Amino acid sequence: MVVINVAVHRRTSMRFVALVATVAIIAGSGSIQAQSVCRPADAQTANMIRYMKVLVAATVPADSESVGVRTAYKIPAASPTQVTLVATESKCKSALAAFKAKVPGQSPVPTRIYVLAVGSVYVVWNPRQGVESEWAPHLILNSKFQFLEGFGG
Amino acid sequence: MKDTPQRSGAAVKLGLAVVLSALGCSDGLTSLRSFTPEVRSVFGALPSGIIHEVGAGPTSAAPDGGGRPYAATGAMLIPGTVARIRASGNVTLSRDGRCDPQQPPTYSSPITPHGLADGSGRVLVNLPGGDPGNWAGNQPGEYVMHFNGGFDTAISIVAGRKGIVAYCGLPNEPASIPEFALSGSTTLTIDILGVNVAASANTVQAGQSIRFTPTSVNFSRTGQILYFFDTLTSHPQIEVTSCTNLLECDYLPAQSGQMMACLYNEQGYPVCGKSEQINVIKCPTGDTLLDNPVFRSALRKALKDSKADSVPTSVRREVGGYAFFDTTGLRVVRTETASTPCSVNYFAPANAVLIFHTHPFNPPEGLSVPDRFPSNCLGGLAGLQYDVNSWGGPSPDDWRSSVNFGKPAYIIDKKRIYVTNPLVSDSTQWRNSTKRFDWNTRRCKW
Repeated sequence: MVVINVAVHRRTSMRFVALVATVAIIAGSGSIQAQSVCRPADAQTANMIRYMKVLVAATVPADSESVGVRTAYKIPAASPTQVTLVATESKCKSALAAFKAKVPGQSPVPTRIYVLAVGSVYVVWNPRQGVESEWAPHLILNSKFQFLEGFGG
Repeated sequence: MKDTPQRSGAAVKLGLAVVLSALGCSDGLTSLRSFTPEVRSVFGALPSGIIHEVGAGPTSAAPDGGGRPYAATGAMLIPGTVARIRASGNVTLSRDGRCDPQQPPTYSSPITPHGLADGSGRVLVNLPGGDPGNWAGNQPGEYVMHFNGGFDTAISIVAGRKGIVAYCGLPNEPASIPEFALSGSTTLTIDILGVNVAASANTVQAGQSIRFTPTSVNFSRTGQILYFFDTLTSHPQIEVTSCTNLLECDYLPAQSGQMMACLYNEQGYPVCGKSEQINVIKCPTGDTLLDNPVFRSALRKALKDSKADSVPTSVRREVGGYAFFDTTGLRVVRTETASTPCSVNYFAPANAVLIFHTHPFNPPEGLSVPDRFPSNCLGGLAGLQYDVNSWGGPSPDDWRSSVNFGKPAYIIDKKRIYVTNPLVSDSTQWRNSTKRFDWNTRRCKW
């Protein structure tokens, strides 16, 4: 059998491509506006907002599965309207500091961060770096930006 | 789409003409007429479903000599083969008058293996046929023994054994003085008795029955039909149903396994066909690839190879590969080259119809205790995995791989299987586009 060695599924290669693209986008955007520590809304935040809205609004017994997940993540029940993207620089800086402290191995060192307010806690993550995993680390921080839990996504 | 390995449909036609040397009463001194009885196993066009193996047997004379003429079958049939033995031909026995008058020459009944004399043999076949009346008795002179149409059915035939056709003296007590010479020929015809079983399907969804239609080969079926079923071929077979004098029999298999039908022949012995693999698809998904038993088996093995239950979780490994179709059906190939508990590098050729890999973790959902990623998965953070029920199971990388390759990605974790749609490139649609199928939950367990 002839194996087309195009490596259609080699994540290492794709990660490399994705990394280059990310750097290029960051560099390009920097020339247009001042760099904010808060990452802006995009497909990733849209997905996470939708996901968190499901979790915070879940009730027993209608959605005990999501309630279990919410408990595991240490996220309080809340109204879906309390799931919002954070754009406040100070909050994002605090979240970024907590992220770098908890996930020290990222290279390059992140300078921007996604921060989602989910009720009284924050969900914080950075686009995945490195090749060791297909999952990006996500942190659950309390209102004081202290670590509560982490998950991969 | 072929979804099961093809059954052996080729009729096997084996013929064997084993020419055996015969022994006269070989004392090395007496002038003996040797004879060369032809012992031939005749196998017609045997249908599939019959297990048999025939090879040339030893052609040397039976070594124990002692005045017993032998004709030995050279057919080697694997144990369990059911055969009908028929003998025909004429054997002339010339006596010099020194045969033990108390042990008249006779033909062997039953035919016994050569090894019987030394205690190593087993009774192979019964041959009560022939025509003893053609023996003139224990009188000096020449005797002709006719074998015409005598037959019986063997229950167990052991490979490599010989059968005695004629002798002088008892089988276990070879005469010490040779007194007979034997001439002529004897043909032994061995008809393999078998059963062909046509099944309406080899793969059915749980709750569906299969109709079996057995056909006897080389014998007339009498009495009931027995069906045996087993989940593992090495296990003792269990009779699951029987149909009396019906041509067809419906059976509702509860799980995958081997199915075999047995019919009774004229002598009352059960004759069985070859086992057939029956696949019962539990929790059918409607996805023809995922409902393929070959792929399901490969997915389960992949997860097992991922050491998905191992602790610490850092020893777990994602594994992956692809599947394609060839003339035998769906083939699954594993191609992982490097992997961690939370990543895998693998590749697939252009003819792949799908790619797959494992997520060897228990997702944090419901009341179950979730597995925590080892720290090397999340840059030093030992965290939980995405809730796959809400999110969808495949990671963003998994989705990108599927979209870039243009084939669906199947991801199995410890509870579910997730399937991507390679046509969906918009990441905001990935969650809703992921198909999820339970395979190890309370709702469904393969």
